[in-house]
Amino acid sequence: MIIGGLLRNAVAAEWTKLRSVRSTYWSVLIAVVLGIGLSAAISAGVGSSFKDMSIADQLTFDPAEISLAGLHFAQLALGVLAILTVSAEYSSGTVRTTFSAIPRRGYVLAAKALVIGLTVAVIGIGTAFGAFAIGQLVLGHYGLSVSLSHPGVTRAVIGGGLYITALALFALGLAVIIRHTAGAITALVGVVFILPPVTFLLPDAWQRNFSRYLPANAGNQITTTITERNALGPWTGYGVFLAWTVLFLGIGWYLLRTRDV
Amino acid sequence: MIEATGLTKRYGDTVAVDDLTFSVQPGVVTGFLGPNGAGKSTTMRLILGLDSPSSGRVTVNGRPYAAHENPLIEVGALLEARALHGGRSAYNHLLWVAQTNGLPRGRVDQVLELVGLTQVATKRSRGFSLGMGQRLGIATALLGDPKVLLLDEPVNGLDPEGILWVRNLLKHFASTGKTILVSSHLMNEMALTADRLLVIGRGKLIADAPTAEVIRQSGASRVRVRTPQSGTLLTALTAAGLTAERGADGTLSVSGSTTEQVGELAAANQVVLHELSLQQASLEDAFMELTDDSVDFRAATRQHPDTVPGWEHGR
Repeated sequence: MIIGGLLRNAVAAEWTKLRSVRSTYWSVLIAVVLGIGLSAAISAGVGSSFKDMSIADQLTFDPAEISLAGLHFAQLALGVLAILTVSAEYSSGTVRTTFSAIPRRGYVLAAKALVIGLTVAVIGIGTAFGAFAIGQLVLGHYGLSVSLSHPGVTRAVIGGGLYITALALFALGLAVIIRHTAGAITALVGVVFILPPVTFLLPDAWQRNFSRYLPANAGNQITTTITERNALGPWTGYGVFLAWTVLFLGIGWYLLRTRDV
Repeated sequence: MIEATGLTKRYGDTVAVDDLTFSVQPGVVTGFLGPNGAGKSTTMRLILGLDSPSSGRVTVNGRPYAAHENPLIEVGALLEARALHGGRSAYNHLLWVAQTNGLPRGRVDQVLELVGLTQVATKRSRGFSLGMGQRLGIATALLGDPKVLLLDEPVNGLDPEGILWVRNLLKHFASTGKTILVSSHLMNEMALTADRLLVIGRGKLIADAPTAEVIRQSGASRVRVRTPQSGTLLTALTAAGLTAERGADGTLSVSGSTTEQVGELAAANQVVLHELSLQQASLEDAFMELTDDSVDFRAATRQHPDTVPGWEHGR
């Protein structure tokens, strides 16, 4: 079947591209080290100051989420990896080779999404379990650990990997739209790091009606076992984030089909 | 075969390619010439479906490029030699390109051998010289053993041996019935390689003819004549409506004429000739003549060494 053949060929080519440059291995290494290392460090910091927290904070303490905190930094490394798979083609000019070899550009985007999505899912979920294991070891030192059998914990850990996977695909969409490495990374940092803290400063009504639907705010809920005030539920939030991802990939796909290369 | 009909590309107010109609035939090497900014690269991107035309159409082997299932088998293209990810090896670059069209891995080794890059196949392309980059670009174009080759400046950066190699390669492929469209800034090289020429300027078609004919018709050929009575002959030539320039060595250079006409004029005026010869124009001369009105960017001193446009009158 020619359609399946086209996609299979495109996926094989994208996989070769991904595994044949060093930046891929650097991005993955940084993601794993930051994801696990910072999770351990943050768990230690929060664990040691637990007894000084307010009662309210102690009651809503979410050991699973704390032990996954390093993923917030790992996501950036993997988001950048996703961006580079597109933007490096534009900066080097290989994009013209790519699109003259595969004129049906939708297949290129589908192949990139499959290859990046699966790669990041494996790295992300692996890193999440690693971070959880070390984080719980550290928190256990303060008597604060939970196990995977606690309600929602396994979902939160796997969710950490799923969140990063969706984020990488979201970043891929940004890169296809923006086409420049620096521009796409700036946009990603804005969405992931700048927007969420800003929206916490907004009035309650805004948070209920607007902030909680923003990509990072919504997507992050899947890593929590205690739903905060004004936040969406874990799967609802993740669904909203997936919708954003599909929207951006869709805009990227449309532009890819219509723009000159 | 490449066929363009009314092919036009506008970027805002700028017309990069203006109503081009041409066909590039199999079995010969067709040279694609034009000054910088004439629209050569845009035309090549239009042929490959990378840019979409504002109007008109272009087909490759009877179909729009994008309609081919495995286009690398139809068309091999070299657009920019440096269109490589610097961190990727030559082998892996060729491998991913081969995989896009389901070409066998063995083909990668074959083209590496063909362009002489086998020794550096596993080296990252960042360290490649311009010539090695060109060879890798040519290897990429040859991967699918395509029926049509589209090469933008393939000899740029190659050493004399490499230039000769490309020339022989193109002639060989043409003799096997492939369609070849190749652009170059090296006129002498084009004169040797191309059987036909497609010349464009400011996006418009200026010439589409065999190379020899383009040179002959350009009017750039001159008659060189040496005589002790150059004043008399110059008067006679001017009276006959011809233009002649006196060279530094006292010879006259007559344009738009033939040796027969100049010889007869001299005889009629009893002028003794020491030399009468036809100065065959080079392709470079013909190119300059053809594209004179359509050069966008030019050093101010080209027309005449001591007249810089705008100076004479402004002083």
